Amino acid sequence: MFLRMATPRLPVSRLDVAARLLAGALPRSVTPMIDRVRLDARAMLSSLGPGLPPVVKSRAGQTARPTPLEEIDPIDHLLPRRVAAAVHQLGRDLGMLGGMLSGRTPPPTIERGPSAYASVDQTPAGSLASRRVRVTFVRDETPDARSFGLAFDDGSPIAFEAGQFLSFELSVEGKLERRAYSLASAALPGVEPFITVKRVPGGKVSNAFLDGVEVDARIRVLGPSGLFVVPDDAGDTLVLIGGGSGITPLASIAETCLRGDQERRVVLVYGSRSDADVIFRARLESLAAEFPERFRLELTVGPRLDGDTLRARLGDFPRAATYFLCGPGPMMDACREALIEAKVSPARILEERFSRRGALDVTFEDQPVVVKAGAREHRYQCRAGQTLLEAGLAAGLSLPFSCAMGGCAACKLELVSGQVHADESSCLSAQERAAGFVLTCVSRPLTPVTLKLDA
Amino acid sequence: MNTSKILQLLPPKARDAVDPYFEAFEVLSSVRDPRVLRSLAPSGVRGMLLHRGKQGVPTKVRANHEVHFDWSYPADMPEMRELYTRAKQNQWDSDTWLDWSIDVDPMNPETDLLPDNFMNFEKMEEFGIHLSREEKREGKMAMASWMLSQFLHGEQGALFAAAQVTEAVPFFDGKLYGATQVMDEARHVEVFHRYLDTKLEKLYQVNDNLFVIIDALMADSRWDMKFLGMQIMVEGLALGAFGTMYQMTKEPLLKELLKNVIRDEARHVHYGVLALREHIIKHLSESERREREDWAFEVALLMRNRFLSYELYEEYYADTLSRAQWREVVYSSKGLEHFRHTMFRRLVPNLREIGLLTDRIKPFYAQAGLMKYFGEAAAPELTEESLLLDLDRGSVSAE
Repeated sequence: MFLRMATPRLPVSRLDVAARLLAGALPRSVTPMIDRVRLDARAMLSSLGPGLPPVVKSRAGQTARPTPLEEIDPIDHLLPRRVAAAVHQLGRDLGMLGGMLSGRTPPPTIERGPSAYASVDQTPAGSLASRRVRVTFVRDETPDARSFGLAFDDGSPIAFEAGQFLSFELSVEGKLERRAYSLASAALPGVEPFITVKRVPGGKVSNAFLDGVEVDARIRVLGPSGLFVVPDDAGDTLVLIGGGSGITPLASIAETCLRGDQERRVVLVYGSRSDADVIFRARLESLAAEFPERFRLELTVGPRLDGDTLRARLGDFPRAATYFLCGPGPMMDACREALIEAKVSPARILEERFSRRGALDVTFEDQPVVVKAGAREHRYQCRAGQTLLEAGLAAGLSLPFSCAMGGCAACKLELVSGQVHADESSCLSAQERAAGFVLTCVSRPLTPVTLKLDA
Repeated sequence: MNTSKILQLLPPKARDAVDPYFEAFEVLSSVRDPRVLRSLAPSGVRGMLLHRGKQGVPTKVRANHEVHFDWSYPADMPEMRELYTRAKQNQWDSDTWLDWSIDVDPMNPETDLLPDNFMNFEKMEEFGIHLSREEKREGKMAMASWMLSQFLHGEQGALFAAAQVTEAVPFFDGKLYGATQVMDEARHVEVFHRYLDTKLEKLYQVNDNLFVIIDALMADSRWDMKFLGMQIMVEGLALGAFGTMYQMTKEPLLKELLKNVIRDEARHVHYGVLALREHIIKHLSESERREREDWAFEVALLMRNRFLSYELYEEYYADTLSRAQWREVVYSSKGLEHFRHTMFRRLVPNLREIGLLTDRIKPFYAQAGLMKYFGEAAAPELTEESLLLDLDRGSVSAE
């Protein structure tokens, strides 16, 4: 928004006030003449001596001009300030009384100016600052999966949608590691939020969680964020397909939907390696008993869920169902392929992947970045190894983001020119990738780049 | 004087033009105690006759109170010190506590701002106004915007009154607590304004009767009158109004916003009761006490009878209903009835607690149908959480 600068005004003189009084007393047709005489007289007097200030340049470089005749209020210049204010108030009071008695009521609403909150509502806070959560309970789910109850340290509620995740920052062996864990609890009032972490052999963060995090531990998080949530147009049935720890967002979606929604049906197909590895068995079976008409639970134990297993079941699911996939990468790839083969629209398949690729094997150099926002361009330098988002925020730009680890797509921008290396981009859809979008939080420039930010 | 008979003699247009002035006259002439009349009349003239809050320019109100300094920093009221500690610990940041990304759709029946029976559409039909489902929904949205606008204007009054009270109160522990209330009120102004500005995109003018109360409080030089007006009466009104909306709305952001505001308000009323209880009983003469007792009663009636959303009437129904018909619609609405119930359930016990509901005034409260609230719990017996729990239980019966 651009504010128009008011033209600087010269102080009102007695001559101006006299001219205004005269113009008020005489017919309107002679006002232009009075004004001309006033301006000429001002010019003459200013050239004669120090009586009136000359026309001057203001600091903004604009020429200061005499106040227009119609804007001069003699009351403000002839009466002491307090009396003048009282006279004005009396004028408004009488105007209001007269208006009301002749049937003119004041407007019922107040004209609103530009919103002070628009920018706050449209972009998240302008830093990668995380918040602290406190661990409120620890509970074993299976021999190698444990749940951790969470509350924000400042007492504010963890507001999330079923299926969303928190990005945790843990210091492991002196290095800050960031990992996302889905909130596994139902997103319903009165339910204490928790995550469930499964031990990954050799996994730094999962082992740190299971071996080192106890009740009252404080951990920094970003989020909640993520797009693996039930869309408004999800239809009557949700089919949730998961394997291993992929059950965490699916259990949240299932329970939230069953308890919070009166209509929708849920099918959960969940595969585990062994009986002992089934996470949330009691919780899921109790939901199945409570909602026999709306919830179908299919637990498979043994070999990994694959395309064939899914194909055999597809005939049982309504055509208009929305599918949610979460689990090991090969399982998700196989299930997705089976669904596409069965002519399920890709728009009805939602996926959540948290696997991280290995260390970067690319060498970076400092690169210039241009962000186009409407007609404006912002330029900044991205240091070798910095992400586009990190460098942009450091340069003071208000770029959108949420999870800051490639999981939620809040930071996606269109890459107009140049090349980037993205270490994770799974949450961008194929269409978005084809349309040239990149996730700034996990993309590092390989060449000078230009990005487009919707203004 | 029966003003309605005089009004009947006038042609409809003239009747509606002078109706606000007859109504103002009726309010002021019903005040029994001349000292109360003297204290309220100037504000009544500024608010109801001259509509100072609606003149389109910022309103200037002259403050006359004395600022009370104490260089010895006494620990003079442990209960208030405890309240101060609780207030410090319960500060909340509206940016992070409320989910402003929620898309508020006032036309979505699943997240209704107000229930269908909040306004008396049947009564409007009796007067020949037949509204479609969408028009009713729009009417309810306008009513919610009007109510929230009044909450916002009331919070602006509370913000400045809390600042004045912080200066004027003679207990040092009260000053420290008062500062937290100033912060609370600023936050309330922020959240209500933000909700109206970004979600409902509408802001109504300040209601004349609300203006009268705020103006009277700001201009009165006596600290205990400011306390009585702001901490007991206006905060009681706020608890009634916020509680009603909290119980009735299905819109999740508004519900969460009100929940957090109500927690703060519960502390504010508690503060008022603590500060006034001893002062009124021990330090005022009987004549001074009687004046405050009458003042509280008159303001209670003003709050009960006069929040008639005329601004809404002028926007939508002035061409089709008379002001008298509109009054009938509003008086008979379920929403207002519930609001009165919630408000007086909080207010009456607090007046009893601070010694302003003696046998002398009880018959008047009984006549106004308010004595049924006499035995309810007063602020010191209620915590922020028990108050919310009470409202949550009430929401079941309100449906």
